[in-house]
Amino acid sequence: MNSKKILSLISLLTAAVLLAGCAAGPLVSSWPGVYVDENTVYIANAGQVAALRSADGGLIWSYPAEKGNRYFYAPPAVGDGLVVAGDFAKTLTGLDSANGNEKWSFKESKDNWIAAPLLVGDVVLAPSADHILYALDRNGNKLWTLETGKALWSQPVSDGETVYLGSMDHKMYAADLKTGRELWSVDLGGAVLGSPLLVDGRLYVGTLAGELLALDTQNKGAELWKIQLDGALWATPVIHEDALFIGSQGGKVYRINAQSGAVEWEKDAGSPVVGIAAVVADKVVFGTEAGQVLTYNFDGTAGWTHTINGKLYSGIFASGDRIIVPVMGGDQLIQTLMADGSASWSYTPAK
Amino acid sequence: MWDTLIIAPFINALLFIYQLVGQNFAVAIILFTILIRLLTHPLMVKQIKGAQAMQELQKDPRYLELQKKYANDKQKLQAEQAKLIQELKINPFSSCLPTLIQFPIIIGLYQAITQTMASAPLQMLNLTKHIYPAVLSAADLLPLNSRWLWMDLGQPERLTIPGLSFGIPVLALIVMATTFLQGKLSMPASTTPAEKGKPDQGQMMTSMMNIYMPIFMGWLALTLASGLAIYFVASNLIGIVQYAALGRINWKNLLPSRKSQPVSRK
Repeated sequence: MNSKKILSLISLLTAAVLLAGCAAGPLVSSWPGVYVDENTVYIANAGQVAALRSADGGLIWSYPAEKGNRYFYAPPAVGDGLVVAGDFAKTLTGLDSANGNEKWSFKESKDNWIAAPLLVGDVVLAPSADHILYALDRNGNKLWTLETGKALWSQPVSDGETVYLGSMDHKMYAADLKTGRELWSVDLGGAVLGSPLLVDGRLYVGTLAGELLALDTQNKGAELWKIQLDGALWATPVIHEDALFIGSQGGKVYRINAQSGAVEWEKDAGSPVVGIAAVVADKVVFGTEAGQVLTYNFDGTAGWTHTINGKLYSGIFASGDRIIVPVMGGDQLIQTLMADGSASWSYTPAK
Repeated sequence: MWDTLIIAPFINALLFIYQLVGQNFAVAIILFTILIRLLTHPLMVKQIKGAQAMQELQKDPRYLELQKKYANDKQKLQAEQAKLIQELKINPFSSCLPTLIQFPIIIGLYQAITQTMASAPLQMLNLTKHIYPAVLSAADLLPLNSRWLWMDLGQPERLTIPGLSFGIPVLALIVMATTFLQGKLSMPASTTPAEKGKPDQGQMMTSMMNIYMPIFMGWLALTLASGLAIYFVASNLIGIVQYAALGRINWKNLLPSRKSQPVSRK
């Protein structure tokens, strides 16, 4: 075979490989998952889970020590010395919160871990994209499972006796925490993307259909009220003194009366709001797709604004006196701000 | 612009079909592939006819005469060949231009299927931005029903059999088989006359492609989501049907006792 033909063959195969590579796009990718407590920021992004000091952003530990083909995007769950992190290699891992050492791994899921797990006492509740909610003990041993109709992208909530779980199959489920027995389920009319908020026996949950609903957990999830907002609702609403705050994919932010469901004010954020808001001091803080951190006083008057290079899909978090802003596609992975909007430390993982 | 002109329309067409067929994504992929291949069929016909015309030209006595006459003067040879091509009213680009036009369509189809399967939040967010709200309701359609038969269309396919510790990649094997079949059945005629005593290099290259491509496509089917593997199978089978409709298939190439024959024209 002459060199011309060999070159043509190699070119064709190379083109085929590039076609497959370029056309398929990245196989795994999402925005960072974050858990924040008073002293520590835990962030799951790309090949690692890291624990940072919230005071100055110093790295406490990162896992795994060597980056491989595991991708972490689900927000970790943290409690009583245990960090639980799921990855896109279908593995759920239990880590020591002090040093990041692996304690156990659970590999029975048939799909990726996208939602944050929840630690309730000695039970780890882990919703998987394989449609199943797994309940494990603190050593990673399976206790029970609850299967839903579609993928689980939403962290469950619990009052210590009952687990409430939103599913992409449009339903909200209630199950017994000890046994996993389904108690009731209700159809919400849209996929549940974000975790519900449980307050005083009420569940507040948004859907892909752009509806925010209030459900009565004491009456088998009966609908108390429902309102239509502008665009899909990806995040959990936050509550402050009977007012709910939530942003929408339609680029709006809202204050809603938690009792009646009435919209008390609505503001144009300028670009989609996908992540959870944070209540900091006397303000509510939202992050937008355009990289803007927007603050509003509770009466709806605008506060300060800070612009960050990147997309703010993960939400806004508060730790101590700092506002924690995870960033996707920006110059840094985390940017922190003070309560007055001035920049504080930032964090970029070592390459 | 790529998103606006190619990806978004493809995604919406795919979802529209998905809605029509009772939210079966595998069937939607197959029907969408058929639709795109039907729409690009005239281009394929043009391409085959153009390639055929070029092959005929290379056997034309006048063409062969020119090659002998100007064997030592490449510039003159090219000029005279160009005159002959013009005289015979052959368009030299008619065999490759349709391929170039089909290329972005095939990539668009591939990307549309990948993006529609949206197996992570970022992909789902991007997918919702592509949906035309006047035509489709994202809330009603998403997430897609990704399960079909034993497969999760968003995951690489494996058939689990009780007693076996590993899953069998059935779809990858089907992809390999159909890719091989398509290549074998539509093997083109030699583009250059074989020299006495020397093997036909064009045929050799085609034979090598018939080995490498099935292996490569099988590897893709093994590692990528099974929805894409379904697209590969559908595309291969539809390709065979298209070639058969154009009289470009030689079933005798499948017989192990015979060497592969060039496709006979009808």
